[in-house]
Amino acid sequence: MSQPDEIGSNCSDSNRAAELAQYWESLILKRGSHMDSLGPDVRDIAVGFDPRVGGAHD
Amino acid sequence: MTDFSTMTLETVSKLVREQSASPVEVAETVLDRISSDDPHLNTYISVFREQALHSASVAEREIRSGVYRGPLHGVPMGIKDNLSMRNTVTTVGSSMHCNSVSSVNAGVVDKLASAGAVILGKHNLHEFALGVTTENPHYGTTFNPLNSAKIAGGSSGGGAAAVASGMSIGTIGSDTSGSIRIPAACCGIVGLKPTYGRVSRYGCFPEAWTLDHVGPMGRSVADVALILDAITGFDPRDHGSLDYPPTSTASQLSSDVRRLRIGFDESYFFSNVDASVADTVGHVLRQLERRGASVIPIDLPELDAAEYALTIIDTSEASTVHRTSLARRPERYGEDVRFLLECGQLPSAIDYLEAQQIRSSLKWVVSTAFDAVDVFIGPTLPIRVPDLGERESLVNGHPVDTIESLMRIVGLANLLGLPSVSVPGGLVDDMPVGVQIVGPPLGEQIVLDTAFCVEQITCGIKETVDL
Repeated sequence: MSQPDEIGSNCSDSNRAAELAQYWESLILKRGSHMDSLGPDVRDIAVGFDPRVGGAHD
Repeated sequence: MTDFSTMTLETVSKLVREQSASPVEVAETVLDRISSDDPHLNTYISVFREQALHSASVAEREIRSGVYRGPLHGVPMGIKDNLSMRNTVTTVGSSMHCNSVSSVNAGVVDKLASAGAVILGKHNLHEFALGVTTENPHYGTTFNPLNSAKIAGGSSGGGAAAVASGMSIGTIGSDTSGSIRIPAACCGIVGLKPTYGRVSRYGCFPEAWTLDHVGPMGRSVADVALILDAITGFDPRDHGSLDYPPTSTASQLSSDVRRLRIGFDESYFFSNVDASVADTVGHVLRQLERRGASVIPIDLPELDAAEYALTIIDTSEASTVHRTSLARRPERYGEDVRFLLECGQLPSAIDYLEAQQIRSSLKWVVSTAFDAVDVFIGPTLPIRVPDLGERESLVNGHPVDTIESLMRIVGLANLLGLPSVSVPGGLVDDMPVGVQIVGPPLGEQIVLDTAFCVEQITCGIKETVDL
């Protein structure tokens, strides 16, 4: 995951860079610790999505 | 002259079927209301007066000759302006598309045409459906008909405001992160986001393809059920379309909740919720219990990750859709949408895939919970309907980000593809409070049945709205 101080480093507008970094920082806080408990059964998911089943759409 | 514009779709449909009302007369009534009121509310981007009257006259001839297509036949409706309709402009709420004439009908427009609906025009929306207030820099702000100082919600704000103010008998919206249910809650109408894949998205301008849904909005639960039944079904042109026959929810609508098991996840649905909003929804839950439903406390702490995963997926996919256009013409985007699309360029491929893994994990968590409960109920919005321009709202004295709050609770159903409806549950300071009901995949019937009961408990606050 990108770190907040890396975000916006390529942005020529310093205000916009600061806004993007602030956004990213607050988003990371919402990530919580859930990823730590993800089991191997979801590691192989595809991007497709079907609400009826637990895995891939295709 | 009878004012059909204040009636429910169910009533108008019945009058048309019995030939007690002429589809042309009904369409003229609603079009006249659009002429008089839309300059103040700005719910439509385009109105097809001549085309609508022609469709109405065709419907009238068909019905007179004994050809009846169903409950939408001869009923005037609007559609959101991110849905293609042949030989009409689809702006998607953007000035870049002000001359984009569609060569095909969206799947849902084909369905409406087959059902004999009269399409009045195309509704205003948040630019590219990428926002929840319908403050549109290109086509103007849609105002809330209940209080013009308040937002109509979005992104399907034009449709919600039109239905609430008698300028459309029912409408079709789209919902990627609450865009049907948020404006439904703000304007005091009913809005349903069906199961992912239930309604074709072919011809609907994409926002985030694994989260996008198309669905109905109306003045009552029965109205929404009637529209849903007309627009569901498999469409091979939409890769996410589910191969299931159309629903038949309207004919089976029941307010009997005696065996209903309601999941009550206080942590997810009721944390940081305005006390008056929580009280209103709590009152509805107690009334459902009095009618025989069971309220079952359930704690799913994993749902805390839903907002993160949804934000990563939504912004990443939206930024992918707009990648070339944003690089070439950034000045053509409104300030808030441009910022959102730039935010969507921040997550790495790993961030996106991890977010999809969180989604998959949450799907298992929630599907297991549905072994013990039939629906989840909570507020649609954790805050009162905000003022136009409000960027920070107060929740029990504490400031919160208004836009994030509007999307916070509704997004779960998009992330997991679950059917979810917002139905009016009461009033706070003369503005509606939406009750959100979330069901299992393909559970549109139980979601609508529960909403039907809520509607009876609250006697339908639509009757309090001065149309």
